[in-house]
Amino acid sequence: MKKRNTIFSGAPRLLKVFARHKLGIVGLIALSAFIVIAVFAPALVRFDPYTMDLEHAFVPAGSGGHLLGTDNFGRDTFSRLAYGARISLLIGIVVVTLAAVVGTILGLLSGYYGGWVDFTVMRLVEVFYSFPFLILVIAVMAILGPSIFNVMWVLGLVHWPSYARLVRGQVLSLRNIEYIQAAKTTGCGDARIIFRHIMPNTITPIIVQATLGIPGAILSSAALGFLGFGVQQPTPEWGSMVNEGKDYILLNSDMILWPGLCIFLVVLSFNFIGDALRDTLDPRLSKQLK
Amino acid sequence: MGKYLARRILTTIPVLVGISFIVFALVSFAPGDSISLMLSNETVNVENVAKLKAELGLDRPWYVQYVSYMGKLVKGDMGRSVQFNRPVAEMIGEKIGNTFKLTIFSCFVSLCIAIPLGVLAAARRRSIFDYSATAIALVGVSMPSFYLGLLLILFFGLRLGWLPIRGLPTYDSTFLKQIRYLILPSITLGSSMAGILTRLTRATMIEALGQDFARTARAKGQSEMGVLFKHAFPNAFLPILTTFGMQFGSLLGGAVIIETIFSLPGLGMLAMNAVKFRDLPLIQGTVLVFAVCFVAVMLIVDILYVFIDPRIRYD
Repeated sequence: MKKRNTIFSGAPRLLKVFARHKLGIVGLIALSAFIVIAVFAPALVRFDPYTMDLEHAFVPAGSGGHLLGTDNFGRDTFSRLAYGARISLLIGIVVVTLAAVVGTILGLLSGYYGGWVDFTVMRLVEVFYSFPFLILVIAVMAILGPSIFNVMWVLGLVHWPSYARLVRGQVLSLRNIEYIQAAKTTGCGDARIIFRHIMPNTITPIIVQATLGIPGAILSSAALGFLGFGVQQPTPEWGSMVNEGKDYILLNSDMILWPGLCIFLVVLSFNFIGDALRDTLDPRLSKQLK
Repeated sequence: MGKYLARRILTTIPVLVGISFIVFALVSFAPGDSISLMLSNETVNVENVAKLKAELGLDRPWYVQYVSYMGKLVKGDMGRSVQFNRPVAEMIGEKIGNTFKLTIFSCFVSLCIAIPLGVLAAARRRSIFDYSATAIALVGVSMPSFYLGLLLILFFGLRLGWLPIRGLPTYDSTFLKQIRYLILPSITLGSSMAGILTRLTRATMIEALGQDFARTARAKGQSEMGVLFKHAFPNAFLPILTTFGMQFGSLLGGAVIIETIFSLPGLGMLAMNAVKFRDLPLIQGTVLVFAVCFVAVMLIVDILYVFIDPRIRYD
C-alpha cells in the first residue's frame, strides 16, 4: 500500500526535536499530572468538594486526613483543587477550540476571496482587537449573567481575531503558488481548494498558536472567576477560590496560596509546551534564536 | 509621510464606529430581563420596566436608538448613570486620572525591567543573566495578576508593612507619596507586560546582533556597548514598540482587576461597580472609554513609527 503523506508523517522526527527541549518535557509531565488529577478526581479525593463541615474549618494541611487542609466552610482544599482542574482545563480547551475554528474559517474566507469579504473580516478583526477584551467580556457577562457556558463562548468569541489574522496571512502567501493554480486549472471547486489544499498548510501555525492560547484562556477565565463573573460558587473554580480566600488573607493565607499556585503551574506548563512546540514546528525561528 | 499619517488616522474611523456599535449593542440587544434587574425588587413591575425602557430610549427600533446614541455621543453625552443619577461623562472624568497614573507607571515599571534585562540577556547568551531573564519572563507571563497582587499585599503590605496596600492619596499630596501608593499595584499590573517585553527584547536583540551591520560596526572598532545601544537596539526597538502598543490593551483590562484588589478609585473600579449594579449607561460609558483609550495608544504608536523609522517616512 502506498504510504500517504500526511501532516503526521514527520511525527517521529518531530518527537525527537521536541524531546531536546527540557522545559517542554517538564511542562508535558506537569500538565499530564494535572490531567490525571482532573480525570480521576472522584477516585483520588477522600472528601466531597461540596460538603461543608463548619466544625473543621481552616484545618491546617495534613491534619484529619485533609492533605491541604480545609477552607472557611470546612471543605477539603485538595478535593476542590482537583475538581477545579477539570473546570480550568475544560474551559481552556473549549475556548481555544472555538476561537481557532471561528478564526480559521473567517481567515480562510478572507484570504481566499479577498475583496469585500476580506475588507469586512479585517475591519471586524480590528474592532475586536481594539477592545481591552477583559472589559468587554465582563460587560457581556454582566448583561447575560455569569455561567460556565457563557464564560466559554464569550471568551471564545473574543479570541478568534488572532487566528483569523494568522490564517489569512498564510492563505495570502499560498494563494498564488503553483499547486493551487494547478488545482484550479484541473477544475477543483473553491471549497475543495480551501479545505484540501490550503487548510492543511495552515494547520501547523494554528496548533502552535492554540497551544500558546490555552494558558491565556485559563488566565482570563480565572480572572473572571476571581472578579465574580465567571464560574459561580459553590463550583470549585480556582479563580473564585482565590476570591473567597482573599477575605481570609491574614487568618489563613493557604486559601489563596494553593489555588493561585495551581493556576500558575498549569499556565506555566502550557507555556513551556507551547514554546517547545513552536521551536519544533518552526525550525527557522528556533535556529535564529539558538 | 503626510499620506501615511492621513491614511492611518482615517483607518481609525471605521474602528471607532465598530466600537460604538458593539458598545451600543451590549445594551440594546441585551435580553429583556436585564432591564428589570436594574430595578430594585420592590419596584419591579411592568409599568416601571416600561418607564425605565422609555427613559433609556429602549422602546424604539434599534437603528433609531443607534443614531440618537451616536448623536449624543459626538456631543460628549454618554447618558446618565441609573445608580447615581449623574452624567456618565462627568463620573468617568473624575476617575480616569487615577487609571492613567496607574497604567503609565505600570508601563514605566515594565519597560525598566524588560529592556535592560532583555538587552543583557542577548548580550551575554547562556549566562546567569540570560537564564534569569527567561525565568522572569516566563513567571511574569504565567502568573495570574490577581494572585501576584494578593501575594505582594500579603508579604510587602501586611507581613512586612513596607508599602501601603489600599487606595491612593489625594491629588495634592506629594509626588513621592503618590508613587509609594502606586508601587505594588504597578508591579502587579506591569508584570505580564514585563515578561512579554523581556522575551521580545531578548529575541529581537539577538537577531539584530547577528546582522551584517552589527559585524561591520564591530569591525570598524565600535565598542561592544556602542554596538549594543547605537546599532542593535534602535533596530530591535520597533517590534518592541509595536508589542508595547498591542499589550496596552491587556494593561487596561488588567486595570479592572488591579484597581479592585488595591481599592484604587479609577475607571476599572467604576466599571466593576457599574457591572455589579447593572448600571447599563455607566457600563457602556466605561467600556467605550477603555476602548477609545486603547485605539488612541495604538494610533500614537503608529505615528511614533514615522519619527523613529525613516523607511516609513519616505515610502
